[in-house]
Amino acid sequence: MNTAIHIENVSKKLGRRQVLKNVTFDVNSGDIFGYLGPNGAGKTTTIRILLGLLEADSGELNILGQNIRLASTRMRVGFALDPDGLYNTMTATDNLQYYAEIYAVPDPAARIRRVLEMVGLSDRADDRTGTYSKGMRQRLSLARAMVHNPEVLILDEPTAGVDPTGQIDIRKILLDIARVEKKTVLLSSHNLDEVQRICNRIALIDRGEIKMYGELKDLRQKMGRSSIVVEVSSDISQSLIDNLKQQTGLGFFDYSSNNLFFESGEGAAEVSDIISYLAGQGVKIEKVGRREASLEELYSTILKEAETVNE
Amino acid sequence: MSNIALVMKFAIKNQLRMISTTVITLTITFICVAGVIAIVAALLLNPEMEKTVPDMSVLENAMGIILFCASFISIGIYSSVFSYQSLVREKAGGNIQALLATPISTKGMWLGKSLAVFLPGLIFTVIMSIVAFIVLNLIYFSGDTGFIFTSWMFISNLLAVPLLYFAVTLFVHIIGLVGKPVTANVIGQIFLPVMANVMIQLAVRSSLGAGSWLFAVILLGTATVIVIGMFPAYRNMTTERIILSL
Repeated sequence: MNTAIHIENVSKKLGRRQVLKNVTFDVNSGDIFGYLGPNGAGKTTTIRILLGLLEADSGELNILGQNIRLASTRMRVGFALDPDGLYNTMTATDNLQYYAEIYAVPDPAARIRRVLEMVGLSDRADDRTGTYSKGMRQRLSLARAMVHNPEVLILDEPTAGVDPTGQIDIRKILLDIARVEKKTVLLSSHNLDEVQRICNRIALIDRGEIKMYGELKDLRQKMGRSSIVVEVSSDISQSLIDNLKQQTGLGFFDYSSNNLFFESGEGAAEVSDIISYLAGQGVKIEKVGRREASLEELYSTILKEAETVNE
Repeated sequence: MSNIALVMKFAIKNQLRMISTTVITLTITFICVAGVIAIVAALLLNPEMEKTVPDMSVLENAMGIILFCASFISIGIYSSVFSYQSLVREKAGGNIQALLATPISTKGMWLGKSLAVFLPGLIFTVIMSIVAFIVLNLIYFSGDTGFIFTSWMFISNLLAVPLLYFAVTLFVHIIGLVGKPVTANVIGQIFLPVMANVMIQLAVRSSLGAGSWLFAVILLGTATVIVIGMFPAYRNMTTERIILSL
């Protein structure tokens, strides 16, 4: 697998604040890579460094094996930043024309038509962008990022401030861009649901440090608390819950809304053991299922751990 | 097309779409220039023309002051308004940041944006100066004195004033890019009345005529001083500096 974006031990200080500390991750070609973190974690600084807008104090980085400061590299990278940088007094076509000329796009009119179609704005092509909604502006930013048909897209919070329907539209466009147009996408976000839905790999940054990085499914397995959920027909007694807690081999850890939660994965009890124990206690079981840890759980677990360490 | 020309082309296109700002700017400029013509005519031209034999050096000086004001006020107001509009809006709206992430260089963007303000201002200035020159000559001088004209008047108003304002526009843009646009705006807005006042006072109160070679040299010298003063800011004008000032 080719590495599209390589960033290794990158640190950056702004004033007296250490914004990035030895940030390291790779984005492979074809990835939709989610760069997650709370506000002020260092996402935008990383993106600005990747786009050559800020210089790293130390560390190495390259995009498609080249220095981002080279014009030839910039020709292969598209971006959407926050704020979007669209000219409100110009039409969507004029905004795209500007960037098409900067990137010396051959047959710009055809390419502009194509990208506007891609983001569903063909019918508003001649309207001033000052009249656009936030969602439409974000879609136009994506079109602008794609106007020169780059290999890599770097997007800073592409759905920030967009209503839920608009977010769905943008996610669909991003998936199309990655799958149909075969682009590598790095997107920063603090929207866990969004990242979970479209990204195959992620990095989580907090206070300038990468706390988690890799394939989303591997991270869920390795770090998440996936669980066996047993739905029971009626409320169970406190004494039974106490008994379950004493049976450490079963891995019981929570009870809520008629659901009993048991740890799953390596070293955990077998489903059959749990069921036979509960049956032996006279519990009527309605349903048994397995629940994967959500990214939200991973995220909050890691951020809590980080807070504990810092305290 | 070079990146400078490209930035300039789209910045001018963007300016032309700001119709209400353009109309207000041009109207204010016309009112200011008309006001200056009326004052100079009342205080200098009319009393001199009432004499049996008008002193040509006084008439030339009055004409020089009027032409200087017409060109200086036109380009000054236009540059101040549009430099500020472009810097404030584009910094806040992320346009500058987005352009810096493209293959356009920092210096190319600076020059392109400065030229986009300067060139329309220059055209406006040339038109205003020529109109003022023709109208005044037709009203006052076409009879006995003939057209009042010195070549230094034209060098001052069609070369030195534009060069001075090109230097000011570059300076305002550099300060606005690496620092706060408000600071740049204050510099631009203070420069216009202060410099105009100094030059008019020199022309009225001293033997320095507004149509003389020395008048043109002072304007060109000021432009040179501004260009030299720009060097420290020019050296500091890096992409990072601009981004951190956003």
